[in-house]
Amino acid sequence: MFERTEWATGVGRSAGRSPRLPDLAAVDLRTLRVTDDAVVGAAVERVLRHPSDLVVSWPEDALVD
Amino acid sequence: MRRAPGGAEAGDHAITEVEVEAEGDAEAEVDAEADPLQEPGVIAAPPRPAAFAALAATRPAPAGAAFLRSGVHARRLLLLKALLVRVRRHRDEVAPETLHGFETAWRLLERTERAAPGVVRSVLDYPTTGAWLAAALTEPAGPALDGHLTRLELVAATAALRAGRPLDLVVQAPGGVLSLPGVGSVLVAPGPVRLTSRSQAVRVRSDDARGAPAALLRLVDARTGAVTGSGPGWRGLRGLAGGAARLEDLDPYRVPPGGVGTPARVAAERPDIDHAAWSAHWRAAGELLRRTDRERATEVGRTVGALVPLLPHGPRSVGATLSVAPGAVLMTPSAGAFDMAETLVHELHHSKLSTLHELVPLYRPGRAALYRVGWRTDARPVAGVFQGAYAHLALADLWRRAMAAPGVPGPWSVRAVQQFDHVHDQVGEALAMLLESDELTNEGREFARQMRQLHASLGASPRARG
Repeated sequence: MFERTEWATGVGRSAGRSPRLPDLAAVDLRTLRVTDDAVVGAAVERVLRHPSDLVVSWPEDALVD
Repeated sequence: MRRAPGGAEAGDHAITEVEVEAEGDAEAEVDAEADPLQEPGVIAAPPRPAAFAALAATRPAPAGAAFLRSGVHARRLLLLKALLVRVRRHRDEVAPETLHGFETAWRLLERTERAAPGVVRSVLDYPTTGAWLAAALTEPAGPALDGHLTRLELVAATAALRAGRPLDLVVQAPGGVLSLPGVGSVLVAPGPVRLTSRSQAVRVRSDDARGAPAALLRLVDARTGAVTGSGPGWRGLRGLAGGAARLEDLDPYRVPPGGVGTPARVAAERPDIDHAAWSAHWRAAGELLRRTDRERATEVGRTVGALVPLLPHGPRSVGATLSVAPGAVLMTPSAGAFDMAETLVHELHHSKLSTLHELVPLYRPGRAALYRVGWRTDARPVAGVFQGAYAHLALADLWRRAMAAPGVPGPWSVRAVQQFDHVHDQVGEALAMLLESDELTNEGREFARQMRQLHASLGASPRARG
């Protein structure tokens, strides 16, 4: 069936981070520039603390033939 | 609309702009509108149950698609704000001319947005804009970061050009390439480049080469913001039939530095690309999807914004998706319509799930168990299992329909039968693993349950049932 193979280290060590997005979809750029909203600020700090989280890709490699 | 008090925050320096426009008029215009814009400080609402169910079933649905489009834009704006905060916080580490250009570009984007919000949104949501933001946010302070920051000038200039707004702007063109996201590029001499507009045409000329021949960019369709160009150094992106997708072989941010995957696949350069073959395979894949599943064909046409050729690597076509660039499908040359159709559907579902997870976390951070899945030789974390199960479930759904849809080519049906059984089994194993895992959120568990419903409904292939 399936197996849990091992516990990795250094991967996803981000306990406590909430990746939920603030609702910015209908916000204009001027408002975005001047806002000091706490929810947005917290989300920005998460991005700035962990920028490497942005570099995630889903490549098709190591595929079974 | 709620605006922040004062209209500017501390540290928001005045800037000198060469771009021409009456700020006051634009301000009056926007304030007179019944503006639906919101205050930002709210967590994005979850999708409605029907949209959530359609997404879990990998099925195209307007509500689900709209939800994901909003999510892409919200994340793009969050990264843009993060870059702005970083620049302000470390302004002493940024070259003065770069800082000036960055602030000028932001203001230009704001004014263009007031006149043409859809165009600005389109440029910001173009896949390579996300890849640029990720590159800038991960780059340590220094000349390389300054180089990334100049990109905002080109983003703003592209938006103004596509919106038909007046321009008189000096920008930087790193490496002698004036890259206009989603439009094309102009090869220029190193150094500042001046963009000046007249009658919806923009002249591009090195700032110290007045009188020399210049490239000319022209807005040809104000409704869509379509732009064409001519003259020295101009290279336009080629559109792909049946949607808004472009064959993206120019943008410097289309593939991360060092490539993607293991072994690393790198971007193919324009002279090495058989454009006729890519266009033909795209068209044939679209037709194949229409005959198999019209809704899925429409989804691909509307959602894939950039098809990014990678250098060939081995006999098999390989695809990849970047989480910061949903809507871009990176792939090595396909063997034909079947190959491309499968890669498009597979990669599109990585984009969909990645965006959904930003809005509705499906698994919890902090755990790092690895699992074996049927389609890979290496063990995967829960994110990889979820992503792979989702992308392969979409393929299983496609192949199930290809077995029975009238009018599909015989070889496609045969291939579907061959592929369906073992992928269906593999997805079933992965879903069982996900549902037994303690790493899913409540929403993730519900999503996996609904994926399992689709999986069960697909059943075994007619061949397996005998």
